[in-house]
Amino acid sequence: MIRPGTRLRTLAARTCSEKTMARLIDPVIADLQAEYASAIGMRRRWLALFTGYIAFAKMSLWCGLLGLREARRNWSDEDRQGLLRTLWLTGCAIVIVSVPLWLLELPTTRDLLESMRDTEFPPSATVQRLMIYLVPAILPLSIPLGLAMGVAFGTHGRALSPRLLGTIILVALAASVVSVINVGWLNPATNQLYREAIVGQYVPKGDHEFTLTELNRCLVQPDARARLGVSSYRYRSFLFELHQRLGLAIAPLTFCAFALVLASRRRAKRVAVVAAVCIAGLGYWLVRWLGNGLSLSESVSPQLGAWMPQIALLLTTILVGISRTFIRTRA
Amino acid sequence: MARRLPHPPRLSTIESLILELLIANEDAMYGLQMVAASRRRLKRGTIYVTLGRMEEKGFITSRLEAAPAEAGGLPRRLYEPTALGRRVQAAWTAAAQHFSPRFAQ
Repeated sequence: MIRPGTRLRTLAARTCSEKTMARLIDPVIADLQAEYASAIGMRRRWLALFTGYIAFAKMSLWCGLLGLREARRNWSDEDRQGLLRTLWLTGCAIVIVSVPLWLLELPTTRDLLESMRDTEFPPSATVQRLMIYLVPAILPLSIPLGLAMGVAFGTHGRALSPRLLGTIILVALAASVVSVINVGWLNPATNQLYREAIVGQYVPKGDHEFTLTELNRCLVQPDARARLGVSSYRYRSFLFELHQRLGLAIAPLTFCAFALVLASRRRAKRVAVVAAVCIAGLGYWLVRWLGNGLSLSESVSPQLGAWMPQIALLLTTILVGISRTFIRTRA
Repeated sequence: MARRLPHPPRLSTIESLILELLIANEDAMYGLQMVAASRRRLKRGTIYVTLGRMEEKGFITSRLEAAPAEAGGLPRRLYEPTALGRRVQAAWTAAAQHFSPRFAQ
């Protein structure tokens, strides 16, 4: 039988230094194992495990904080400036992409609201409130595009140190986490609020209004499917929706990879790089529509249809990367 | 111009408490033992960070126990105060007594 904490220790050994392992991690694991071995009865053993793992989690947090402090000390001015420039440009690009997309929704929202004024349940919502509900719907596109533009513009033509490269990937990962929360829970909730505010009463949820948990429950549990009266067409639609959202959640990472590969082409002009990112964003959305259509017509599986934009972007990234290497080798 | 004197060793409240426990206990102690003896003033999730820092400062020294308490498990780390740690703790206690309002009365 494997002793408790053994796997955690193996995992920690991959990331922590020998000194950290000897001074911080090993003593905590040793305490956990000793307490677990000496505990009599199931309840005490569970308690020993619980307190031991909590102590390990606290210790890991400390190690992370100490590591960050150490890493910050070792950063060169060039790296620090590069990161700040990339973050600043990313923030600006997200705003620049978001605002026009958001404002495009204004006429439709105003018309919708006006058209519902004379109905049995006139909406009490204002245009301003409805526009706030639409903000999360813009983010799945504006976050990856803004990040890609920021990275492409901020790192273009510069030699990236492994530390800066790793930090940019971490930023993309953080953006991905934000996207998961947005497409999984926030956007469905605001979508539903928007619909109900327009109609002025409760409206049954559509595909876009189910949270990730609800979608997954409908797909995994046959009882839930039967209770909700999910037909086979709706089942495919749910499946597509679930995979599409997962794809959107990792879009910041794929867009960031694309931008990094583009930015490494020193001969290309900065404007051309940013234009390429914009074209990639447009292409991504076109392939998304194409995937949706193919999936609904049952030409491809819903999973493949939903992941098509990601696959296309990854293939493009690889092609751009290969062509760069090829050109460099020939030169 | 007056020469700048080197900084005297600094001791936080937690470090002082650990040194107090280690000096009071004749044998070397391991982390959980100190947590138990401190009456919840020390936390098991953070004690090793403090112990590591104190070891770097040279206040304490550590070694792995000869044989783990339970065969097969990881050996526990035992901590002992160094001569420097004992001196710093004595100076700290004296200073604390000297500057405490209770002493002034």
